Amino acid sequence: MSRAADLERAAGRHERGRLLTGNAAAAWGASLADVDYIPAFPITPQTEIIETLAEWVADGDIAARFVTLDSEHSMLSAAGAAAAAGARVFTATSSQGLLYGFEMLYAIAGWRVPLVLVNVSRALASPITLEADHNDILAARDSGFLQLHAETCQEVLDSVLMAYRLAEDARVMLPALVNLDGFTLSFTREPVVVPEAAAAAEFLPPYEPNHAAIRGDRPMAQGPAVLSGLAYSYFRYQQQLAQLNALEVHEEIAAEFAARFGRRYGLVEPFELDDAEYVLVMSNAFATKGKEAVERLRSRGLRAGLLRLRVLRPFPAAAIADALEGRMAVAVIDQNLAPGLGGITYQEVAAALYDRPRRPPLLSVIGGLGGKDISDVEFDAVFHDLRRAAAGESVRSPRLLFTQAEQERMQTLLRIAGKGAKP
Amino acid sequence: MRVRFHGRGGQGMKTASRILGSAAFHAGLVVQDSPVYGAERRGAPVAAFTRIAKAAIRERGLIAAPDLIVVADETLLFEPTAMPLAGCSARTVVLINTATDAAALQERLAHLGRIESADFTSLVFSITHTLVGLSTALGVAAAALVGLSLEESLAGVAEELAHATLSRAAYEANERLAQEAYALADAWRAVPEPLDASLALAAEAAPTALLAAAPAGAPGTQLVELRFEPPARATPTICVANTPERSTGSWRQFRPLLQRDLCNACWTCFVLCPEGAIALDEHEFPLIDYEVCKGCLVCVHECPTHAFATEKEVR
Ligand code: SF4
Ligand code: SF4
Repeated sequence: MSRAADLERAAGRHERGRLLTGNAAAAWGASLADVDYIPAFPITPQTEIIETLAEWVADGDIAARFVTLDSEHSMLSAAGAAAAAGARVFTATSSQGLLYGFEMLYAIAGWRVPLVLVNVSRALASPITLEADHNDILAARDSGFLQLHAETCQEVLDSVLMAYRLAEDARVMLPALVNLDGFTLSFTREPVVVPEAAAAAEFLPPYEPNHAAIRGDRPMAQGPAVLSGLAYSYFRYQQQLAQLNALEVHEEIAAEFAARFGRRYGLVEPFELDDAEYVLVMSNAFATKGKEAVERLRSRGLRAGLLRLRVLRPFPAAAIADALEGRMAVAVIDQNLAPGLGGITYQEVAAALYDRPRRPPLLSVIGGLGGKDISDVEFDAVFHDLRRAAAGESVRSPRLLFTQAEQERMQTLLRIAGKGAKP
Repeated sequence: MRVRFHGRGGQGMKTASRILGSAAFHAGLVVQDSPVYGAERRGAPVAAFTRIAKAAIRERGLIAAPDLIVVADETLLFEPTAMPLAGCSARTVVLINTATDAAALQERLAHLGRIESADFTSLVFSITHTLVGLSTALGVAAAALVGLSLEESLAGVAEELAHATLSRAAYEANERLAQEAYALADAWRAVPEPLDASLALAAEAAPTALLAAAPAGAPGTQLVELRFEPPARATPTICVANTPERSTGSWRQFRPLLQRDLCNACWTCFVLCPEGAIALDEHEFPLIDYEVCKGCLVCVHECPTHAFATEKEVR
């Protein structure tokens, strides 16, 4: 649909917002950020983002250059190069696409160019599936990109705007990934308030780089060979220091965003944590389901709570440890798997708590792989384990959330695939 | 209110779920709608979900225990991969698009709650003279069943049709279809409110969700520990010749019928059939395996001599 028609229909109902998918919200974020350059390559479930932007560019609604590339590797190369030429760059990908462009993530972070890349999480092959888990985005955790993970469609839009502010801050100057879950957000419509363009422009002034902007009258070499560990150590560790700066800068930006738009996003989000004894740690869209479980358990008298991880890079270790220290027991639910190790964020949360004297028993739970639902009974089982762990019983960890009925269904699928009866 | 739509790829159930969503949003309610459609394979079972509430919705993804189930195609009822009646309770209303009457269906189905049915396909065909419009008919019928007004329902249709480029005549036919589908469904009793207040629409609903989850120990709900299985089982391979296990013949709504005298054996259909359902007989004329033919009608559209007729399946 044309943007003019969309705006017209939205007029008069700004407070309630409008129904937007997560993908449309990401496109609105890019549009409000007044981006200059959008290199694109399609992949399910991301394609709707670039299709929407392509239409807006074609209709003249946004003044950006839209270019289709032949792969995600080329797309990210073009994105980084344009950002190095001083353009504000937006692009998006998902899953296999992110991995195909992977080499360029490290390169771009090293160039210190603050573009924003949206990733729509989708489980990695093999086997092939289309729904969300976080092995794609978490594979990029060491690249030097900042990472913001969104729970709602509103947060997708808001995070794109915040990501530009954070990435372009002179104390940071690193590219940023904004993550949303495939299907559970990307194709899900819910009410989203779209900020006024003028208010967004005030929050996010034009990008005016002077550190890495290549111009005709100011030639420079970007990303050169240094051929020495000495220089490499210096430059690579600068990324670490810039990431650490981003912890503080994010909180400044979040406060300004809240003052302007009335929505507050921290590095982490506490939910019913004040008096919570049994706490879930989750990220992204399924955190909504975790919150529902917390409320359900509270209505049955259990002091349950949830800590949502939002900014994953930089990793807010102190904020996480502060929120979890002293609880009766904590379970980190990872919608990802590092085979041979277990849940990825569990390891990082455990490290954050290691030097705290009142660190709680910490369970690792693997749930929602490939977008598999996490049902009420599975949440109940996690809280049951938490109470046993708090009582000093030994509890299996990591534990996969997988029910008897799912097990039986899997046996049927194996039979259909020609695997014969169970041995 | 939780509404789950089941259809086949191409029947427009994603659009139906959005028509309902937009209608409810127009009525001032909070909405969340989403589809799941796997690999977008025409004819394959798909589902879509619409949640409607008075306050923020704290749910995501599939709807396990719906208040209303809409089934766009009765063949799905007996399809093991679709399982449209999963999660039904005595309170769940099931709306089925079928020419079979509700009482007869109620007997065949192990469903506790109320079944409503009507032949929406014929209604669509009689008004639009195409099969396009099932999304409008079923989206609006669902809106009537959850208690939305005709005006709100039409607003939902208008919102969704803004995405399509329709001729004026087609647009008007669609609006007439929406009105008739609404009148049909409005005569049925409304879907009862959900028991948990979080997604109830009635003003008098209790303030907090006190309902427990499925009772502990309900069949199939306990967690299991996955065990190592040998690679012969635990690699994601599919052994060939498993088609009889996953027959796609039941997907068909229309059956392609070869009129042999019109066929010049050019093999276009043989090459293009996406399911490999067409073989060649001893004279090298096409031969359709109806156990496999899913009714996509690619052969019908691509045949240069128009050698295929089509026939509506009756089951
Ligand atoms: S035979 Fe025709 S209708 Fe049947 S699956 Fe093949 S192309 Fe589709
Ligand atoms: S495409 Fe038509 S003419 Fe060609 S083989 Fe098939 S039925 Fe015959």
